[in-house]
Amino acid sequence: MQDITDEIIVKAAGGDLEAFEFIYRATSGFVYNVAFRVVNNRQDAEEVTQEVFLTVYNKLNSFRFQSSLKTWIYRVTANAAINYAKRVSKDHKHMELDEQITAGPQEANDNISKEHNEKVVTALLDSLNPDQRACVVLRSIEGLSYQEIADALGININTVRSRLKRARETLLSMRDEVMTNEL
Amino acid sequence: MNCEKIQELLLTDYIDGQLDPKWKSEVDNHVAGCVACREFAATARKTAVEPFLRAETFRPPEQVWMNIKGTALAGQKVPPDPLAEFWQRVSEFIHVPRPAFAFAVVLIMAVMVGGLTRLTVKPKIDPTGQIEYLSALLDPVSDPLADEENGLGTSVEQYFL
Repeated sequence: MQDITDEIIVKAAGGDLEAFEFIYRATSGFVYNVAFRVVNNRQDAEEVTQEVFLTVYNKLNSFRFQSSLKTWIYRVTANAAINYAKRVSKDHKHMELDEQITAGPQEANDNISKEHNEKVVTALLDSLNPDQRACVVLRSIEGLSYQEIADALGININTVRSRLKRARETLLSMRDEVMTNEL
Repeated sequence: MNCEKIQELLLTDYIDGQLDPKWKSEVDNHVAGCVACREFAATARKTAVEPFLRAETFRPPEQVWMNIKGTALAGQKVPPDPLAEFWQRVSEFIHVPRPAFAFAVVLIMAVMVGGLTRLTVKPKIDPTGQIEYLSALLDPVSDPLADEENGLGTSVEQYFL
């Protein structure tokens, strides 16, 4: 992430669009990534990203510099993405799950294609609820520590552990299903 | 620690590198001596962690920024125009219903047109003197026949005589 100085934040908080664009360019990558992985749909991810940055634009003047800007934006993103995912119907989820697992070429373990890996990731995330999905994405894709995830989601660190544990147990059970389909 | 507790740590702190060095050492020792936990650790890492480490990262399309910018610009407030505000307050103070205003205008115009019409009309010339006579008849004081030679001076006397 490019260096966002306090001066840039103050300017953007005052309505300076150029300063705000600087913040956008520096942070939109991880915002969109988290949104996409939690809502599991590109169009929805674009909508969530817009919602996040409009919230940032409107609420930046209330940012108190008590946490880092990145943590704050992660929090806004996670909340927006989880709420959006919960609102969206889950009816299509199970149909896509089967397609994602069974479609694609059969690759050797050491030579998994990017495309196949994407299908696997999508299928795995689809099997989780939005809260678990957010924890897995922030930990395994974004690389946040347990404490950073707790700060971003506004939950206790043990709740982070609990959600990760349940999520990974679900993923392990998914593996059994994948193995069964491949055989 | 038993296998159940070890596997709980394998699924969370151990696999994520969040474990305290002292506890990590204990887990390492257990895994080295336990086939089930060793296989569990390998499966958990391969299934629940590695696919995400290889996941692609994406950037939003430029249109997303254009939409955000457009909305942000639309929401920025325009400074108020003092003159426009003044006229706004005046129009609120002098509130005249439009239908009544229109009626008043029509009435005024009708009166003006009527007045102009009277001024432009010329009086007719009466060659027989009839108008003068009729006017005199209507006048209770004047006597239209008072000037005749045989008259006794009053119309009453003429009537009875």
